[in-house]
Amino acid sequence: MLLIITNSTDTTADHLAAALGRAVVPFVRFDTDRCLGGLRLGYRTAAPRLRLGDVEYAPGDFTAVWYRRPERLRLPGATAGPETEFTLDEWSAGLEGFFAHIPVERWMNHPAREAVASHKLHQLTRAAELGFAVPDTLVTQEPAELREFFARHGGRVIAKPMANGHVERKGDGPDTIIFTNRVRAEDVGDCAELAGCPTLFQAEVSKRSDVRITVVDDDVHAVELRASDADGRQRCDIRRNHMDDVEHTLVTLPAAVRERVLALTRGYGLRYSAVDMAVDDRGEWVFFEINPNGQWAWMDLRGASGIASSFVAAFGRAGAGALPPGSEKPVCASESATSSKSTSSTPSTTPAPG
Amino acid sequence: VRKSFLLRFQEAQVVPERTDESANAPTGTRVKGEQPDRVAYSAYDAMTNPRRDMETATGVPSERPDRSAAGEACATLPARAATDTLTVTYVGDEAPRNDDLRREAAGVLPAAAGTKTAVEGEQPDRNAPGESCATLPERTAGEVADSTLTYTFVSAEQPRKDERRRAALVLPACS
Repeated sequence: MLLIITNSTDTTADHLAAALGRAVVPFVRFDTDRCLGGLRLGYRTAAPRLRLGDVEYAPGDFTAVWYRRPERLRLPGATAGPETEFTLDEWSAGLEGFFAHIPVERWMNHPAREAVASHKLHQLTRAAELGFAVPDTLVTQEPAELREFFARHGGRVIAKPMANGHVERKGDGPDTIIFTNRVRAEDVGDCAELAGCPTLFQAEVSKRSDVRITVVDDDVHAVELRASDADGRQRCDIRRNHMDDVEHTLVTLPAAVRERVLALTRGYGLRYSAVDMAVDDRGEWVFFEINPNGQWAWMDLRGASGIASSFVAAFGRAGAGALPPGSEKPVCASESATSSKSTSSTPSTTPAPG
Repeated sequence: VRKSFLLRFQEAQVVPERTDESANAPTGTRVKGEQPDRVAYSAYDAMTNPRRDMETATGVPSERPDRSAAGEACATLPARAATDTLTVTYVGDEAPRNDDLRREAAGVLPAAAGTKTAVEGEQPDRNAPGESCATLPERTAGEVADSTLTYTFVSAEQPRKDERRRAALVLPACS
């Protein structure tokens, strides 16, 4: 049985769930923001049990796990406050304990491995070690160092966030976003705040196109992304304009690039990754970053790729089609999950949270 | 004064119309808190969420003390380095934990026959409620505070969820 860990608004999970349904691959969708209403967790020495609706599962019942986008657990009907937080922490600890019994190699991807793989600077180091071309990179708090870097690259330097570009504001205040931006001469002349926070700069790559490379086990899908800025050059950050005017084309990777992408992915212990690269004006492939839990379904929806089929095949190979005794069809933890019949003779020992 | 150089580049987040394609693309926040190409917030708390670990280390309100030493305040801890053996410098009136296992592992604490713990000037671990002075090994008064203590985490022992815990991520289990 495949376990999908995500949230109730995850449309990518919707997309794959439909494909799994067409392929008759049973799964349990575990929406962490809605699951607690119909959930029972129990444990007797070395035997954790999770009851979703009427079906009870042991960790061994899950032959594959797709770790997508879980959100913070929510208690149905509970008001925010420290006691709610405490209760949610208890739930988290219990669920984590159950999931921890599922072997790491069954996960795509295991969250601990994603966390390790999520650091841009280490990604660049690892990529360079593997032989990727990477942009000359500087992280600094020293204005003088930035000025020297800027001059050395003839004023063609970009700045981009190391974490993510979102500036979220509480309440209804408008959020802002920081894309990859070209650094201007006036930025270099006025950069006193650089001392307050390390900032990542890179030599700007003269891009012919961007390429999003999606790895699912041994399958590699490479989609070329083309869009122009006002000056006619390939867009500095392909995500601008919501990618509305981006041309998507399925391409074949050079063998050496493919091998390096797989080596990078596997080196982090990942089975899935979304790698961002570019092809420069000279035809060289340049590495930008690896997203251990990056988006992919939009490319399928544009007809540029068939990544969902790779997931279906991977989960099928994992024996995800095996149903636990008594369950007859896929269930969804965010719904009532009453469609399956219980055959368990070991009721949960853990009461519902008060 | 801006707090980061990058903030000069911030621009309004324009939320795209929600379509199948836009909802599945890495194009930015669609709903507050939803950030597509980032490792998602996890039900896995400390195990998987490095941001939360970092918050813990800095003592922000969401800080949760070490489950194995409830109540210890990170604010009183000195910075530690991530090394195979961990050198902990006790500062001021901070005292090592009265954990026999850990103390045995330390192996460097002086102990003097006939000298009771909790003698004047010595403070048992104030931050581990429930542990009594009676469990402390004997030692000479005054030799603990301000000393430098090198110890190795022993098997199954949980370092604290702060700098020590982060250090522990690279520590081999020792026995």
